[in-house]
Amino acid sequence: MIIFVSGGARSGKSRFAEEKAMMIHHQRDIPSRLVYVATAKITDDEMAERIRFHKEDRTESWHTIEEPFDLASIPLKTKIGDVVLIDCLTIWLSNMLYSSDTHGSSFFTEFNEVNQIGVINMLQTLIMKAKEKHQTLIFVSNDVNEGEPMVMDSMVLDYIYELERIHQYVVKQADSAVQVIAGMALEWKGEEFS
Amino acid sequence: MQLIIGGAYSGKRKLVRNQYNNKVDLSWLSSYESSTLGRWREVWQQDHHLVIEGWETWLCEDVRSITSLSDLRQKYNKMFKELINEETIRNKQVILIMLEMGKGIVPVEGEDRRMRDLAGWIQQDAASLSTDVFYVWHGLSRRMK
Repeated sequence: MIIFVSGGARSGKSRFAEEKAMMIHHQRDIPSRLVYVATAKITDDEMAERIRFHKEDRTESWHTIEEPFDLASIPLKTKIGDVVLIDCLTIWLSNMLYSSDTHGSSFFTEFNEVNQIGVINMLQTLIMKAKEKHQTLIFVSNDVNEGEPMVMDSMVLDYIYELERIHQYVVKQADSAVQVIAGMALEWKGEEFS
Repeated sequence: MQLIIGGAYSGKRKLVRNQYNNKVDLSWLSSYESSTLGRWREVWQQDHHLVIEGWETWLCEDVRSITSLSDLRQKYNKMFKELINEETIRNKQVILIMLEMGKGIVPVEGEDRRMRDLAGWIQQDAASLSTDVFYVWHGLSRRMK
């Protein structure tokens, strides 16, 4: 099953996604694990603090994977039936498009047409392989396209354009798409499965 | 009058095209093609629906002028009423595509704040005058009115 969760900053989307993951995990009739994929690179104290906070905030036992680039490799690092939460697409995309980290040297180091095709292909592979392993994928993202338009800043517009392409792709593939507003879920696609 | 509202690149144009999918021809007035808002009458071809998009560009130009925000709001309101009037005369629809832009942090620059305030008010006015309002989110749409 594929689930897409998005909303504004501090809207409670990560918490909603985590609760959803735990619920699905408990309902599984096959052994499964809860897997948290952090796409953020721990580049500074603030980010380390955020990730620590997220770890502490999670009451259940989670298996954590830090993967800033190669999301397509996640199904290889996880087991059949796992419930995999990917937090989040906005950071992953900026890693993919702009990072010059040596770890990412096998991917793309500048914004161009090749990496635009690359990001969708990678998500396509991830979704396909996760389905083969009967996993649940929960994507978390942010509605950054609903903020003020920075008409003059073409780099920001390029990023938002690309992010929307990804969002629309994932929403199309998803069985469920949910917008989180002030901690409450607005269902856009699929039925509530409780 | 119909209002389609949503974030940048969320699929607003696609919704309009799918909705009218070859059934009725559409005339497009777009600031992205350097059209001015005042040209709506001449752009609107006979037996077409009229789509107006790119409001943020026109609003951006407007807030740079010395006109007060309430006068600008009145100007747009007057125009919406003219559009609705013309809809009845032509028996065709006007579709407004507007950009949701109120959800980021409050802009630091005064001009950007004015623009965001004006956009919010105009969207409220357009929504209240429209018979149908749709919100578009990552390629999906939801009727609000």
